[in-house]
Amino acid sequence: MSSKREIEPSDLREFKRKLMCINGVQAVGESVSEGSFCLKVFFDNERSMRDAVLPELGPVPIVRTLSGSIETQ
Amino acid sequence: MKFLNRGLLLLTAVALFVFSNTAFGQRGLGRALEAQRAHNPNFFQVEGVVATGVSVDRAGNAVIKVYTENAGTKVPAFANGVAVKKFVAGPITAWDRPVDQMKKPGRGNGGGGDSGGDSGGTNPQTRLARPVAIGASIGTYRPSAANACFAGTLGCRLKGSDGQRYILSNNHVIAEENAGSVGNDLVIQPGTLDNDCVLELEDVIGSLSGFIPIKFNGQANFIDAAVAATTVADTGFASPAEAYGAPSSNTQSAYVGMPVQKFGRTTSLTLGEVDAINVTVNVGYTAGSALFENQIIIIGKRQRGRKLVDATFSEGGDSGSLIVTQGNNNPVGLLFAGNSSVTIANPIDEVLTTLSILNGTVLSVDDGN
Repeated sequence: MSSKREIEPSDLREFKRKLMCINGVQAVGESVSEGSFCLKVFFDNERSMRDAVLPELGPVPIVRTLSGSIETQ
Repeated sequence: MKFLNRGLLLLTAVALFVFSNTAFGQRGLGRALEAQRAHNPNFFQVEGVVATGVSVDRAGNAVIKVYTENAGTKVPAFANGVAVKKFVAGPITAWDRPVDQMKKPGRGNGGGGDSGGDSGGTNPQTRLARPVAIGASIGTYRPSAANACFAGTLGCRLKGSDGQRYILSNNHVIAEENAGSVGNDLVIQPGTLDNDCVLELEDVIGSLSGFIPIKFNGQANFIDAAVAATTVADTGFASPAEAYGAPSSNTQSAYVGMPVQKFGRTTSLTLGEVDAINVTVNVGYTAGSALFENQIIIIGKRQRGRKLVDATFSEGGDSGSLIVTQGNNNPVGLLFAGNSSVTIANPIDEVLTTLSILNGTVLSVDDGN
């Protein structure tokens, strides 16, 4: 019997919104890291990226990356 | 040269600021700063060195970081006993590039399809011959309101099921962040930023026919898009031949790792790769911050030797560009935000579906057939 838990899209949406409330988080998206599904969190600067305390989402890895602030082009 | 020097000072200052605000890497800081100052004149005598800074290595030791234009530039391993690390940064240019590189309007050939296209000017920042190639500079002419001096990009030509043709771009490009007046505001090519901030009626190529309002109240947005009615005589269906040509009418959903390309007003043709999908993102507008969901993040790529390295995919003025797959030119997204590291795009299917409902006609990307 598998212990894997399916993540509902609505849960994922709410989780992303929760991450967006953390200081310095500019964007949260679904990506691939080392061949596996992950959540990628984009920060505005190195300090916020390093200091952020991120919640966990079960077995889904959360990858931090630096993007800078995002504006219209 | 003026901009290069400014870039050097800025990068050094930023490196020092970041370092002074971090809690790690205290070992040898003063010594590294002293060595950097002492050796800066020698570093900058080496051709290809564009900046220096003080940083920390993985072990937490202070090091001198030397930024170079290319991998071939040689730097010493140590300076006054402090380790020197090379970082290939590429050339550093000023951020005000769009204005600085503004060209005088020309009368080149648009090469946008429908009327063929021979040699001639295809610089997207100039006034192009009609029908205008997609990826060109556009802006607005608002007869009954104040006009700003700016430019964005003509994404592509859409075809309605009723035969009407439309220009696709962003709300913030041709509808002024919700302030557009449907039926009154006009789309001009080039945008006024590329015409010495002068409005000319002869530059009109379309009339604003609809836009999706952007919400600034914390509610989710899904697209930043607008359409303007146009004709095949005014707007072509293809990018210039030296770009990628015509987009396909068959759209494709983005996936992580998908190779994509775009042709836009500021950075012309660039290549990239989808980095993340279903992205939730806060985007800064003139009117404030707006939350978007289900977006695509793209990172630019360029060849360096045998490797693909990260590069800039878009800059200010590229908003509105259509993003297509490499190879088959299948539309994937509508570019609307980003910075020099990442680009944000609306999924093209969401754009077409929403605008079709708004306009009461089934819209598709016009491939000329």
